Amino acid sequence: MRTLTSAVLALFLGLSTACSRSHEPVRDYRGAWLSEDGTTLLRVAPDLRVWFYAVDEVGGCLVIAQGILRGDAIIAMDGTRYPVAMPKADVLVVFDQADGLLDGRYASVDFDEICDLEPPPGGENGDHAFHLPVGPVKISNRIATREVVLEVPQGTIAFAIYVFGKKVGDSVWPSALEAPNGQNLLAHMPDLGFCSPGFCSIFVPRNAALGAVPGRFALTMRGPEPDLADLDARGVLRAGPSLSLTRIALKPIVATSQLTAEDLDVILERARLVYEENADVVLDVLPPESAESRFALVPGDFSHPSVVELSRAGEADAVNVYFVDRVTGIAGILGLASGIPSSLGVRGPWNGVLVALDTHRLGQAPFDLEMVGDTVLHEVGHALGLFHTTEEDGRLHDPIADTPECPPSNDVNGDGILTVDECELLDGYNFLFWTPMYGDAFLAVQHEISSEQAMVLSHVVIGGAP
Amino acid sequence: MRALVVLLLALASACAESTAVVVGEREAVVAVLAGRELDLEAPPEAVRDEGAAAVLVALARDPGEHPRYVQHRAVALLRYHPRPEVYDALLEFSASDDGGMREAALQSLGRAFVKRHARELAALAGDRLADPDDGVRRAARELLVRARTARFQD
Repeated sequence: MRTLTSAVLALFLGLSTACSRSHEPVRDYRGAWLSEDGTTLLRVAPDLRVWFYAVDEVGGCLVIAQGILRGDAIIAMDGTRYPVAMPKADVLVVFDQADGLLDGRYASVDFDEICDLEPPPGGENGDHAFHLPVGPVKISNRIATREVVLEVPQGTIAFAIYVFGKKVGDSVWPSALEAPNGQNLLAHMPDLGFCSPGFCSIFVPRNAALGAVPGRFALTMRGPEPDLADLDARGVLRAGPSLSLTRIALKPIVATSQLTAEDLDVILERARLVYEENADVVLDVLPPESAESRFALVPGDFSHPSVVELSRAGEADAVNVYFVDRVTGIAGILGLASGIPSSLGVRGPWNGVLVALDTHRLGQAPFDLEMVGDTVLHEVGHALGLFHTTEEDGRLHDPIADTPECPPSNDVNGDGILTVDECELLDGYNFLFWTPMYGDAFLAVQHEISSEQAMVLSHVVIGGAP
Repeated sequence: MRALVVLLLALASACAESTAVVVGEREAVVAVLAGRELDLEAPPEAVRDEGAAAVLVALARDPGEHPRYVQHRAVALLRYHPRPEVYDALLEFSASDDGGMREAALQSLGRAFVKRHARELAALAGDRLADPDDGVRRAARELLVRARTARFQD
């Protein structure tokens, strides 16, 4: 086989040399080429850089490596030459004389069709959400922006602006939120906005210092002009009055077979009690819905087709909690919120949290229901608009004034990590402390919710009277 | 109990002013692994230090009283320890009954070992392309391309 390959290569190289001597045009290798097993995509860019991608089963690509095309060979970082040939216009043959691993025929494909997947739609509006027009692209000093305007009526106690788009949270970000008084609120409080890939949310009030006022709020999204093309914006308003007890609907969607109805009750009751007793929030648990077992393993990517499909079981005016066996792609995920806050009021992939059961197991023993309940409590807190009170090294804190901040100086063992015991007298027992673990590895019960956190929770845009 | 912890914290704080308190490596590694979130692309030094490799392998083999997420993360963080004994351990984990272990092992092998073991890892990845676990199959596809393009990587 190797001899045959060498012979073909020799023939090809001979032809190639002959061609170049006769000044015939070199083959145009630019384009995208997919291996026969469908795993490896090779793209030759106009500048002759060669990009290698791993292709997902359902589409989507991950850049793995790059080389450069010189003449009729791809050159690797270490100088290895991989001769290439085009026996037919739609076939590229790569000769790997070093390892044989890249050897083979690659079929011409449409790169965008395989790798540049269309972003999922933001979703369907619920009772309180509506589409917001996105203004035209404006270019000033070579900076491209688009504006989204929300008119906040008198009597509004909370509002959210959501922006969806392929490059949102990647190259497209909120750069300003102009309040009715002309102040740029994002400059004043950057935490007002939060982005994850494909989705950004703005939510007021994030804390007690900045409440909703009537008037015109203008959100500026900034990024490269082509990346601003597909923006989809929504607004959600919550009218007053503020309530002493606030109802928030929670929709459980069960894609795992590991969970009995009794288990689910225990898990949700634990979260429900903490919200009710410590935050005056009544989590109204809607009837659970079962999802197909093919959703038991989903990637930790809310724009992935599997998650998008799963999210169709969710509700717009609820926080959706998806119970799965495992969140794939990122090792050791307990739970994952789609945003801070999620797209509450809009039914779609960015409204909800994923909760993985396998990672809660203790060895081969059944998973710890209380621990799963605390994960629901914590992730739903993110989905409703709250950040970690303190991040792992104590340098970042939430914008809430009355949650104690555990500073780096509390890192008594000097390992750069703040554990529950090191912050015990501050926010170690808060439900949004960054870790659930004591330094000695035992899990803490973290059920504290501060008054100001409770105020934010009671103002979520899908909240209402019980 | 709480009073005792407070006392210990106070003592430790006092000590910290003059000299850092030395803690067991396992405890420091577990503290990193235990957070609700962990950035596997930029983890703290405590899990990248040379001495952490043995702790991570031990936790991956037997997490003891820790939940499984700690075990999965231990395997994932072995990508920062490109040593022969870690390679052998990752091959062992890639055959685990636990899909999360297999997935994390393939990810770590792809990040740390394709230059030295390209052919072997390409074969392993090829076998795992038919794994019943979606996450393992995805990791196998990535490992396969990493192995195929090992000479193109820095």
